[in-house]
Amino acid sequence: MLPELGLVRSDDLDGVLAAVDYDHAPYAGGTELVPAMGLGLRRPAAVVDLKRVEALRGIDVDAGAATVTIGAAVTHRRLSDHPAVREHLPTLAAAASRVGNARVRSTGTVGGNLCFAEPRSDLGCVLVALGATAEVRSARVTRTLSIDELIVGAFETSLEPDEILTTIAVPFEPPGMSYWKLQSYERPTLGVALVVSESRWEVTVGAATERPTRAVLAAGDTAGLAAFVDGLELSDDMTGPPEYKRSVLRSHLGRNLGATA
Amino acid sequence: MSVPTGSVPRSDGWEKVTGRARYAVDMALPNMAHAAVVRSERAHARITGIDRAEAQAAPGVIAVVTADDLGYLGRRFGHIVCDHPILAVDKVRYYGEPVAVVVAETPQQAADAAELVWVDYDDLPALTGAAGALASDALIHEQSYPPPGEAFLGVAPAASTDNVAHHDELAWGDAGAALAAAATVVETTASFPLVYGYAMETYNAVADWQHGSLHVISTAQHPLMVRKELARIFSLPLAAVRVEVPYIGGGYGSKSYTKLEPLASVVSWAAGRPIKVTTDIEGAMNTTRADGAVVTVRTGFDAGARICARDIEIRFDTGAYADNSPLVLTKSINRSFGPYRVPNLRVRGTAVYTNTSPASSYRGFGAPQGALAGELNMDMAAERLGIDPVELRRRNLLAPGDTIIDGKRPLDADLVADLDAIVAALERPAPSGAHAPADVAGRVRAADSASAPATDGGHDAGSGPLRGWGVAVSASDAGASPISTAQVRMHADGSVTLLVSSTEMGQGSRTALAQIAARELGVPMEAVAVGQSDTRFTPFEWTTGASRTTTVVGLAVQAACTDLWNNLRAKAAESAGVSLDRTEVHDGRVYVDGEALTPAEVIRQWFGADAGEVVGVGVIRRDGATEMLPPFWEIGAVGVEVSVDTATGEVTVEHLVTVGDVGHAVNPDLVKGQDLGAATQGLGIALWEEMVYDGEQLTNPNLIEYRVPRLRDTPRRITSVLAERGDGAGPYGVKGAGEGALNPVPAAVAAAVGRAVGVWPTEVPLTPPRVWSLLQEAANEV
Repeated sequence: MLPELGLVRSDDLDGVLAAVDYDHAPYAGGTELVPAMGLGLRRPAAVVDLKRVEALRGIDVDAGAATVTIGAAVTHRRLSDHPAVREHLPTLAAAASRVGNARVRSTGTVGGNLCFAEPRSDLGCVLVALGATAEVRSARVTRTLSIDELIVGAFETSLEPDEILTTIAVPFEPPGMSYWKLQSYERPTLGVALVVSESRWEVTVGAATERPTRAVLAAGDTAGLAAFVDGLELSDDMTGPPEYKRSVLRSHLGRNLGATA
Repeated sequence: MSVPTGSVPRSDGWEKVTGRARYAVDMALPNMAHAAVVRSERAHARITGIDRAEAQAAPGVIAVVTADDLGYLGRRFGHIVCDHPILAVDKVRYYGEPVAVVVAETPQQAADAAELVWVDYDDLPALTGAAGALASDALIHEQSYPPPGEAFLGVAPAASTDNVAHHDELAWGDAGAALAAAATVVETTASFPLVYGYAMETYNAVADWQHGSLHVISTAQHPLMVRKELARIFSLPLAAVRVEVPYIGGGYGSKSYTKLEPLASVVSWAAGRPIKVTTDIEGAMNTTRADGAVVTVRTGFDAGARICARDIEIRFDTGAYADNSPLVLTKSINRSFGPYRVPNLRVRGTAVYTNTSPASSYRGFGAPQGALAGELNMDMAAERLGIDPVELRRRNLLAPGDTIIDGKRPLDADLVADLDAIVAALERPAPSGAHAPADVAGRVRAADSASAPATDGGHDAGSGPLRGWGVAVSASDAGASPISTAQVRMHADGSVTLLVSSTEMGQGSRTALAQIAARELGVPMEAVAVGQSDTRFTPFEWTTGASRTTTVVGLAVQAACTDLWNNLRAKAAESAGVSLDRTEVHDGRVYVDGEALTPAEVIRQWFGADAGEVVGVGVIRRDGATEMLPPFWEIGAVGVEVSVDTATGEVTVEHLVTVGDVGHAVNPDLVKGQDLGAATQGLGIALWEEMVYDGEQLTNPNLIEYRVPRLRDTPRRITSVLAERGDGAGPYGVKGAGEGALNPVPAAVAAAVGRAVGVWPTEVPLTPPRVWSLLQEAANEV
């Protein structure tokens, strides 16, 4: 059961940044925070509503820099339906369209997904594969991090208690990109993002790993690919033992890279 | 005006679709306080102390209640074995067992304070598996318990515990000798998981004890059974205990008998306030589940592939308390050998206490556990004998009128016709391709898999998914004790209030019973109102279980309508001052000397005003059509076709065929809904659902990790056939529906996956990693 909670609301970013700290948890869709509070894993005195902050809700295309900048409080649904995202980041749009369920997609946000750092997630894997960067702000400082620097472990980010993720800058999708996931349960069991060109194989594995894990290999480097796959520490949980997940991963890579990983 | 026959819309549809239907969780009484349950954090331990001072001092807290506070009240409940403490007494027997209850002004205050109750434990060996519990010297129950009254339905609990909650046997002929003499003996062992009867509404109760009376509003499927136990616990007459049951948000047997009601009631007594207790999913999983089972079946066949004997051993994992599991075990035994001619039989069953959530009734009631091993065994036998599995079943199935169990009602169904209907709908590959030469005993390569189209969206383009099919049948001696009472009150305008104590939990019984009343009385559906079950006002009903309602309660409604017509006739005669033989009833009218009167006219004439009502009462007991038990055999007959992704082990149900052998469908859409719902629940068991204990604790007490079927899991194609042969004892030839279609589904899916993969499964659910393991096994054997 949820405890009684305070609610802090502000229309502007500075108001939000002034309020957020360990006891005042940033809140947008609540699809991760509310269950965590229900289980007693997170007990803030108040939640700070990010949904009304315009600066966190934008989806902006910079054609010159070939990037799309996505506000942290953009919902999965808006992300997946947005024409610019569909045009420049079709794999991300498709992944967002299959996150969780309709209820989660309608309220859950990109920022919440990344900041909760649930390993069994799609967006982190796709954004690592795309080389996205995150802007993080507090009342004190503004930092720019790679997604890899933001997500440092299972349910663990490098955010300070007074910091929030504000935007994610995503380079336009390169040719040869795909994302595939095995999702037998509520959350993905295994996610694989590939960027394949004539010269390079970029492989990012998520969901079964503590955090998205990326390898950049020369095209055709089957030995390197095999070493990467063999070296992955894969989770052992209800969705299957590591050897199962490794087998599914090998089979997917085999089909898509024409290689026996 | 709508005609009451056929698939009329549900009478509760409007309320439910608009969100205005009220459930126990919505109920509130004036001055009501809220309870939070403090649950055990040990699987098996002695309680050495409970420190409640801190909780008692917390804001809003009214009382902290433990077993020590219950004064003269009974400490335990259990309608077969009175072994279940309302609040833990001296020891806990499973992780999640209620130990104390905090009562506070708000649910939040109660929940916060519950975390401040400190319980000290002295650990005992945690026996979370049935095999371990049987082998252990540690006892989960150190004492035997006297039965709570007369032996319930003739089920006497085990005399000495030895971690055995119940043992039972069924035998005829000489199975041992017949197996020794058999031409072929095929053995199958299969494990059935611990499953949770997930319902959208969990267990909820509001209780109000006042001097000399108790009022409970709860999610009970069987309000009269709950009343009986509460009356015993409180030493009150039955009439002083009122149990009201509004709409229930899904039952599936999991809400049968007594669950949360004693807890809410004793806490109301102790706190002196009306109390509301609700559960979340974890609390619900820690209230009741279905019995897990390991079942071994040995079947002997003669040279003509006819069964000469079956020898079956059933071991249930029953959890910490017996609840209804002794009866489930007895029924599982009766249902385990299938509706086949079995000249020599021995079935032995044991329900084992373990330190896990207590098991009880669950849709199918012991049938799915037995059918998994029993029907898989028929498929393995067919392979061994080189016979088509459909033909093997056809050769051994009982015919209508045959005896299944001596002394019980003969088979009231045509199973061969049902099987033929499945096969026709399934469009399965020709038998010649369906049983390719077996490479080794117990294994089969499925020839039909090679010709399966690749439909897997491009995965595994090399080989394509494997395909397999399976059929299975079952027959259940419905535990529908024929004790039922219905009352129809006809008002001065000819409309009718129907009172029964059947509970409406989504199955549509209020609609179907209203249809029967409307049909019998010649009034439109809109003229029949069905009351909510309330033991103070609605008449006696044994249970709402065993798929009984349309058959047994339907007969009571029909009898009540007949009684009403007789009363109307008598009143018409009295009003006219003529003898009864000058009146008659037909076509919805009472005729006096040939002159037609509407029922409303009869009522108004007799009362001499536009007022009054005439009542009809119908009572069903073991007499007439319901003298022989069971009142009907509930049939399960299904077929499935599956595809298996060779890379991921994911199983897709390509086609599901259900045959609802229901005698007569009062409302065909509702029957098909029951069949699809039951089959889908069976698919959940076959493919996904399993409560997993890792050490002392349940690892998946939530719907993220306890995976129930979702819309996307719906079979790609569904064929729902209704077999209406009018062969039931209920009104218009009705038999029960509601559970049958679940019972054979796990077995049919296991057979289909076995055929696709080439290795027979030995357990369900067939999750992707498990199917992948079967695929590895198959690859290593080739």
